[in-house]
Amino acid sequence: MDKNFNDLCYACRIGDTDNADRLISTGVNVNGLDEFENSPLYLASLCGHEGVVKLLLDRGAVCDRDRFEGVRCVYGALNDSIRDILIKRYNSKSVDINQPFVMHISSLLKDLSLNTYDIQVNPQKEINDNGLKLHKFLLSARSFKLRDNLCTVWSSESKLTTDIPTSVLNIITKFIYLVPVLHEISMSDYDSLIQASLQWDLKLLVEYLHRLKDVTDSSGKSTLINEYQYRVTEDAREQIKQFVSDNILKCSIDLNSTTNFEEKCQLFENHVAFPDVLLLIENPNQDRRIYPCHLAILSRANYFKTMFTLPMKENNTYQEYKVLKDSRKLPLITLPSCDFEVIEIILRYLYHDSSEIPWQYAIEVLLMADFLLEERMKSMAAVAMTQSKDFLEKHSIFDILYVAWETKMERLEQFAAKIIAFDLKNYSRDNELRSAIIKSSQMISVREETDTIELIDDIRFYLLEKYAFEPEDIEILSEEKDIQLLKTSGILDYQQDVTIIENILDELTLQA
Amino acid sequence: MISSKKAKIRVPNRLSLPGQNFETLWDILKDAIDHIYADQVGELSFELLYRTVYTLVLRRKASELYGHLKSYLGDKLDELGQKSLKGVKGFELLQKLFEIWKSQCHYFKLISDVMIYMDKVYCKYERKVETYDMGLESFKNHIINPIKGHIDEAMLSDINKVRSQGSSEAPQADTWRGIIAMMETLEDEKDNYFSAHFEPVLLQETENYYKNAVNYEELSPVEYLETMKKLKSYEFSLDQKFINVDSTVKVTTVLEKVLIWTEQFMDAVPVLMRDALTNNNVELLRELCSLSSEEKYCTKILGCIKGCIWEDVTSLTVDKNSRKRAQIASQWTNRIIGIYNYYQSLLSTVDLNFFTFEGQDNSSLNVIHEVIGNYLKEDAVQTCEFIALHLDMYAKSTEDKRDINNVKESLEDCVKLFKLISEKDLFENFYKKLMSKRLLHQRSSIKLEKWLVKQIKSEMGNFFTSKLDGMLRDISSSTGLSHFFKPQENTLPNCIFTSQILTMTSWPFQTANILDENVILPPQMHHYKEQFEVFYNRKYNDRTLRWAHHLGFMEIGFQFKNGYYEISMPIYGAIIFLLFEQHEELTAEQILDLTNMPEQELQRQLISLSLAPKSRILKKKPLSKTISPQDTFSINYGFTSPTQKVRLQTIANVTTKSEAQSQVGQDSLEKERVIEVNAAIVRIIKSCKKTDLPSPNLPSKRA
Repeated sequence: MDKNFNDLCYACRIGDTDNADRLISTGVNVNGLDEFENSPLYLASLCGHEGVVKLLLDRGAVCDRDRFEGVRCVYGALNDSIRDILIKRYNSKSVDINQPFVMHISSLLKDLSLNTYDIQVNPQKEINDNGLKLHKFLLSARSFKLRDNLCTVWSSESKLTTDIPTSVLNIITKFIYLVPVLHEISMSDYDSLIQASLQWDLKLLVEYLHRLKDVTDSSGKSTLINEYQYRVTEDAREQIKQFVSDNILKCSIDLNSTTNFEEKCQLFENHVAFPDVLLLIENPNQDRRIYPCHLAILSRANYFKTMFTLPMKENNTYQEYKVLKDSRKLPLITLPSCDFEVIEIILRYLYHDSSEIPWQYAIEVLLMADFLLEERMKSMAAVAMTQSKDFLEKHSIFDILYVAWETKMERLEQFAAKIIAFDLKNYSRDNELRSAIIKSSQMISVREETDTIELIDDIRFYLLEKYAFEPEDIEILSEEKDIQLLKTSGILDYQQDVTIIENILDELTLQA
Repeated sequence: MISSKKAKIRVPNRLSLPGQNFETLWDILKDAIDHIYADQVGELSFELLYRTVYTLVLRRKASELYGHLKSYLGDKLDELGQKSLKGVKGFELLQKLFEIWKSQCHYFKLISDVMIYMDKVYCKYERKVETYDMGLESFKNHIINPIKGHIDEAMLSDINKVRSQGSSEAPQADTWRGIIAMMETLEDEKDNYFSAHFEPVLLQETENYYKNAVNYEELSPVEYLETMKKLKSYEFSLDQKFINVDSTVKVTTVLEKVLIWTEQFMDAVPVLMRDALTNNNVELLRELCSLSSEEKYCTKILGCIKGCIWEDVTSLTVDKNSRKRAQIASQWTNRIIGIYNYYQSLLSTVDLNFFTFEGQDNSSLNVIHEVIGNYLKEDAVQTCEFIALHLDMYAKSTEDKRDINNVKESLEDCVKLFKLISEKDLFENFYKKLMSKRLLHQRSSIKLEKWLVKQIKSEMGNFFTSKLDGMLRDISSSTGLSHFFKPQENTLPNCIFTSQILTMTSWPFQTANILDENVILPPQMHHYKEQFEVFYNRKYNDRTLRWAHHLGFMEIGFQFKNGYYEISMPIYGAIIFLLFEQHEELTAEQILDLTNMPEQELQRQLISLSLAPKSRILKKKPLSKTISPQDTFSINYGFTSPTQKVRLQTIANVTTKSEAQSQVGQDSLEKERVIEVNAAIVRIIKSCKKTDLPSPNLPSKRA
């Protein structure tokens, strides 16, 4: 955790937005302080990385005018545009922790377009369709008590009544669905809220309520809210992680040729995961495995969302299942063949933003994310590749380049160019470089842009970086005569590298 | 690093469908499109279709796929057009087209969702329009273009039908709006289909329709205006039902072109405007002004307004031969002010600022100023004289302090005219002359004079009031001086001496007549004169004091047979009158000897003392109309007058003095102007000298 936080601070300094995003998704406290008492927001603001500042604010970094850290961020801001962004947040007290998975789960409470809910909770004596439309898997993930109930007494129910008052019920469902609610709690609901929280086994909410009782001043209250909002998010992440690991991944079912699919489906009757969609995966060894999943979560990926928005067969099957509630009719979706680990990484990402992608699977995850039209996942995978030291030991840099081209990952293209530039002498002996340059030049002919070769441009750019030159420096040094100075400046090495590229281009009769 | 290449893990194959060539995969998609067009979407599997597209794109078949898709859609649409739209015309065509459009949009959306991977990976990077837009483009090429003419015709004839019915309800408007929305969605080169193609046609047709809609020539101007208003508002409400705001504005412009820019209406505008302005018809005026916001029209309206004002002011007549010049002047000025105020209040009801073009300020006030200013310029001399006379009349008639505020109020209006006077120096000249007389004769209140000068200053600037200020300064310093001058008690106890010390440059008089020096004063007066000279020289050592008897006047109380009268008269008159303290009877010749007065002046004084009907305090023998040296004069003890105070009027000089005087004024004005111009030229030449240029560009600068 500590390492991740330091990495985050570093990413904030250098302005690596993608990596910062990945690191925040590991659950790092964005409002933490490093050994010099700097917050990530302060570092990003000081170093002038607007993108990172925005990301941090979106992910719940606090810029509070009542506190030293907040004021410091504003005064430290490198430019006016960052200062303005910060000042805008300065005045809004409400804390929105917009972790992507939190946002998605919150949206489930309101967005009913996909019809994914499977249980309704009504206040007492009011059994109709106006109750809260909730998801069993989420209730079960967030509260052990509810999980027990759902597996036993409520196992066949789709409508429940509860004696919890409506206003309190709203608050605790919002809490479960991670809608920021802590600042909305009014003291009039206090007692019944504690009671209901105990009844539904929401330990963190109970804890918060107990502490809230002792705080009277508003700044103390907002500090408390900030602290708990963060803890609520991380607590929920942990719970969902647990749920995914125990109830989905461990409860997946291997199919082998002898077992009957129909029979297996029986197993999903009253399954602890309360699935409404089954994912069938075949790995390269042609083993097949079924994962019980939830459309509510899968719809985070554009692919699934489109699939179930269109009035096509999948959607029809799903709606039919919703009516019949027959586990044999559960919609079964297959994905392109991949290792089981890959799909598990993706599921973890979709459910709780897990960004831990072992480098061994990074390329596959990238390709699968591309298939699923999930851009953020793609950049996570790309970051995983570029951050790993082992990755290059096992993969050719050109493989990365080709994957980058196919998936349009600019970050990877530049990464590859940088690697090549920094070790140009070795790579220049590799014929693969020549074919890569040819491929790059062909891509341009289609795009009908000016006759540059992107790969060559990138390599030249990183050659400058390699010898720490600015473009003007080259001009100035080209007029310099002093051999000693030229040597120490590194311009000779640079020119050597440039010549290598020129030679290769000549060899390929290309111009750029 | 390179050496370890063999140990590296192979990049996994992309996750595409195995086997199958392009044709088989395309067939899957084609079949899907057929299903979509048959509304059998429920049977399709998104998973399969997406994977198919994905596979094709991965195998670099995207451009082929794109081409196939485009031509297949084209075929579909052609077929549809043949089947449903052939031979259909009129409103039915529009309805059917709209239906087809709606369903096609739906289909395109479904197809584009299936093609989402191609859109994202291929179209975006190859700069091709995405599937949905490609569908729209095909729709335009295959459905709209073949029946372009029919659609236009159907729309226009339908619209015209509603127009001719004039009904406010247009049940078809929904369909029209749908069709227009469709046109707006469809891309044309650079712009959308609606603004590139249909809008011009619609505008053209609107123009034609309204040109022939009404037989305008039969209508009177007022009727024409009414009709125009009705048509405009009708068309506007109709347009709002089916086209957007921008196009509505364009249609309105066309309508204006048809309705307003006709010869007939152009002729009618001045008539209507005259009507509105004469009858204070604010409604009509507003209507006229708000008809169009086009520059050309506004200029026209402005022209009309100006014309009307001009007519009004030039219709004022001045009786140049009348003797009561002051009265006529005052009447004239009052009427100008009346017109000014009338237009100001009337035009303030419409916002003429709306007509501001190219920085030209067309506020109602400016318009009035322009026209009235032009009028005043026509006869600048008369204008200046009349206004000065008008002010003079007011100033003279108010000695009572209570009146001052009332007069100020009524003069406020006159003040407005000051800034319209173009020849300000001329006005100053007239005003100065009249003012000096008022001041010397103490005919007006100093407070009012000061106020007036202040007004003139604020309207015309300091330059023109320096002399007026000087005059006022002289008057007030003289009052102070008289206060300090205390002659010895024994001289003449019942005589009050008031001195008015005039700075020569400020006052519009020629240098005091040298002959004044030689006049023999009666001893009392002479005594005063000497004492005052001593006093003045003590106070202002190095100043030359010169007496200007012809400007002074004197009040003498005398017991006639029928009563005691206080008679105020010019100094010269008084000198003559005082002679009779010692003499019973004198001849003109004797008087001349005793006073040493210029002969002409003596004649004037004697005429006014003995011949003027209201002030005959001297008897003349023989009683003739002229004065000859042998005529004898004595005091007329039988003098009567209705009031105790009598003002003795000096008759005008034998020659027509006022004309001569104004002639002199004109001349001196000319001189002053020449001086100013010369000074300006010198200034310009001086600045030119710096660049060592002779002054060939001087004339242009003067211009």
